Amino acid sequence: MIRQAANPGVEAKLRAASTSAAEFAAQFQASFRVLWLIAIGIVGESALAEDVVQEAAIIALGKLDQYRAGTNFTAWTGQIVRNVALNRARRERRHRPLTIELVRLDEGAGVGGGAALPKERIEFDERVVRALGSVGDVARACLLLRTLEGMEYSQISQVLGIPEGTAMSHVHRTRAYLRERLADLWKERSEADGSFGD
Amino acid sequence: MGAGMLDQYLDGLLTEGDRAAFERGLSRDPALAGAIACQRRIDASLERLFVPADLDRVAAQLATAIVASPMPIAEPRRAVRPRTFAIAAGIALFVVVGVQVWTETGRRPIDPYAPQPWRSLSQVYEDTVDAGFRPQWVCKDDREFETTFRRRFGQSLAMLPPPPGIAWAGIDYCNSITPATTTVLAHVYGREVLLFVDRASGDKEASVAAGSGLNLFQKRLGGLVVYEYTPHDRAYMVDLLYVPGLAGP
Repeated sequence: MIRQAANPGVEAKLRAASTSAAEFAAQFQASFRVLWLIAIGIVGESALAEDVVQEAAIIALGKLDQYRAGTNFTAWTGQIVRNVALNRARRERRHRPLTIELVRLDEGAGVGGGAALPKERIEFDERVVRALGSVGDVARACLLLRTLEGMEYSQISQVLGIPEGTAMSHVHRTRAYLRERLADLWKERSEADGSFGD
Repeated sequence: MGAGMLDQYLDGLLTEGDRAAFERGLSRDPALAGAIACQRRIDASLERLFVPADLDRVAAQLATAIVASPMPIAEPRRAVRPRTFAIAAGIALFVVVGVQVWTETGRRPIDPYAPQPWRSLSQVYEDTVDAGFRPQWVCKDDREFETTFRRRFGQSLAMLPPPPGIAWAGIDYCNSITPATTTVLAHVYGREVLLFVDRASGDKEASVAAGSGLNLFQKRLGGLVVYEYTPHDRAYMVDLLYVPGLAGP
């Protein structure tokens, strides 16, 4: 059970950062989607991404006195997530090959009442996942942040701590690579079923 | 039109005039039009594959855990995981990967994602026995058992039908090896046996309490570590577990 007693160390750091635990939590919550995408983009597996975001939250709290209220909280925590994720991916790869794991929304079909996806789309999704497995960690994170979060390249640059041009290059090259890997299947499906290519 | 123009179009960075000209050109360039359509399909796949439906709820639970956290935060490297906050956050985050289908077995249901205090394996064993050795949940079938571990740990775990005298009882959750530890309860020749399953990366080489009369056996199954906590002098249960597709039972 969560105890409500405050920790003096936390309180001191919160004071130094001119913020409160509630403010920190609110900002972390607001940034969560971006942080999650960075983590899953780099480590590829949802279970590991959980660990990464959790560990990053702990580290961020520990370094809270280094954070200045009013500055870009998402960029600050995003770089912590990035570093934790890269370290974790390196560590895990010493023991086993990391794979990109689906976080399928349709997995709950029959449980949460959702409808299963058509077989063709599942096959396409799986090909996308396989292709993403050949893409670099940071490039994958760039693509997810741009595509799923609609972040500007300057914002991606800030949260990942890389030059803006590099972020853009990662996204463009990864898109082209995915199109190349998926072109045959997309063409086949769109010719067989006009609605697929919509 | 080159790839640079295509990416600027996809990024929405073209001026209105350039965009209109680009789109007029698409009718004369089916390959380019196909590339855009293919890209749209890929983007839709990414949206489907990488954004869990429950993300907002997870974020809210994590935020609640942060506010309530009493954790000592000065030395994250020394012991990152066993913190009350980590417990809360870790368990809350499990919502991301799983909707689990279990049948309640009579105990008052707990929220498997609710934070729990850390307990040693010995303590969990004692508590479970003291509580009547009743699992929180029983899987409906073998497939759900497999799916649960895959969603919880990223790796499936399957079980063989037990021989006479041995019976699987069900599943419970605790915070022992990591905040995500899952226990499998079993009756082995009239005695209570508990399996602790967790990610091998979180393994801390557990030990049995001295003088308890119990024994502890460890086995690695792919990326998972399984401890069998048992009053018997040999392990009966761990060898009934296997990783589908990785190694035969």
